[in-house]
Amino acid sequence: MLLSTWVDQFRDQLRGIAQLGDATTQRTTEHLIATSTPLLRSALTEAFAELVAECNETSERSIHLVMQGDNVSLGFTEDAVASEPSTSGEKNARIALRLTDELKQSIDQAAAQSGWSTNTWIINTLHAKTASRGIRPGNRLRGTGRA
Amino acid sequence: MTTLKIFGVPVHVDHSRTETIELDGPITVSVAARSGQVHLISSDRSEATVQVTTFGINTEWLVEESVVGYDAATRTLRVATPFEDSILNVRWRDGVTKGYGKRRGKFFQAGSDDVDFWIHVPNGSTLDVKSASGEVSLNGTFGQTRVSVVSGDVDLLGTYESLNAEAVSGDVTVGAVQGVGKIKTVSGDVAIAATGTSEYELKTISGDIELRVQSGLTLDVDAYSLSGDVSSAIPLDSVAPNSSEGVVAVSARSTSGDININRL
Repeated sequence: MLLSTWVDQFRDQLRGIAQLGDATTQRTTEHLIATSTPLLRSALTEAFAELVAECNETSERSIHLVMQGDNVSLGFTEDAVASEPSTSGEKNARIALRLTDELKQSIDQAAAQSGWSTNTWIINTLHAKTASRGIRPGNRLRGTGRA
Repeated sequence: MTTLKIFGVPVHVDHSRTETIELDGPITVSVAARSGQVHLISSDRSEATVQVTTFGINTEWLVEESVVGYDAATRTLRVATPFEDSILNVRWRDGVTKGYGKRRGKFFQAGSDDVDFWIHVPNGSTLDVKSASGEVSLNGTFGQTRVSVVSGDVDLLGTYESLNAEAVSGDVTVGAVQGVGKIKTVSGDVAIAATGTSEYELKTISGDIELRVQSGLTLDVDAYSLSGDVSSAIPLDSVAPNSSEGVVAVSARSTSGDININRL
């Protein structure tokens, strides 16, 4: 999505309204448009960022905002993580998992459909759930410390 | 007074006017500047002084028509530059901007259209400063303070009961704030030097945020950038958010700007 599409639409609408006034109104409107355009872009971007943050709080799939110049789009963080080889590294830890036969069958079926072994499928699923939920790691710092 | 000789004729190129208002305590100051610098300084004093200056040939009308008025009923000092439409600028081939002061009937004007304000007020005064493209600098002890600029830089030193600063492309530099400081820019950078207990809410779109915290203070931070880098030279572990020397609480948000935290 191009931000300029919405910004230009807003500017045209303002100019249309200014046509109802005199030359001074139109000149003032042009000044206002020039000043308010960066503010409008800022407000739109901020609104998108807030929506993305709200989505990540509630949604199963984590998304992020991709900004390339005027172009704004959404990306699914889980997709990116799931396609990464999360099976790298030594696997020394073990979890003794008790589950129903039905669930075990469902997991086996899901793993078979994805083309992974059951063990790799579980690791990748857990990796996606723990690493990609919410805001992407590396871009956020929270905590307290002594300066 | 600065005088230049043009074709052998001495011409004054700097013009100023100073107004003094007797006061009995803090006031509210409202400044609206188009371009030019705004310097606002507070001290332990019982009057306000406003010095209006310009630099250029035939620019004295800008000094004369600048608004300096005090309303005793509301204890408000208003300072403003003349309206933009009162001057018509003409850019000549040599790149020098000249113009005609419509109201004053000047047929020739050269130099800058900037009007600078040097304002001295009592400590504790409340501020509302707006500027289109000029630099704004505040220094002293102020009450509730609001600063809004489009492209000028904002330089804030001293102590503020509360601070709300907004800039579109100007940089904002803050020395010290007591209470809550809210700073928001679009592309301007924000630099904070935290020297005592304070609370900051910082937002930028593409501007970088640099936070420096004085040694001994406890930092309680939540910093997030959508696509910029976030880093801290101060280890953020499980230190309890209290300190006899003070706590700096910071919420920093940026869309694409970097956020860096360092010791002062």
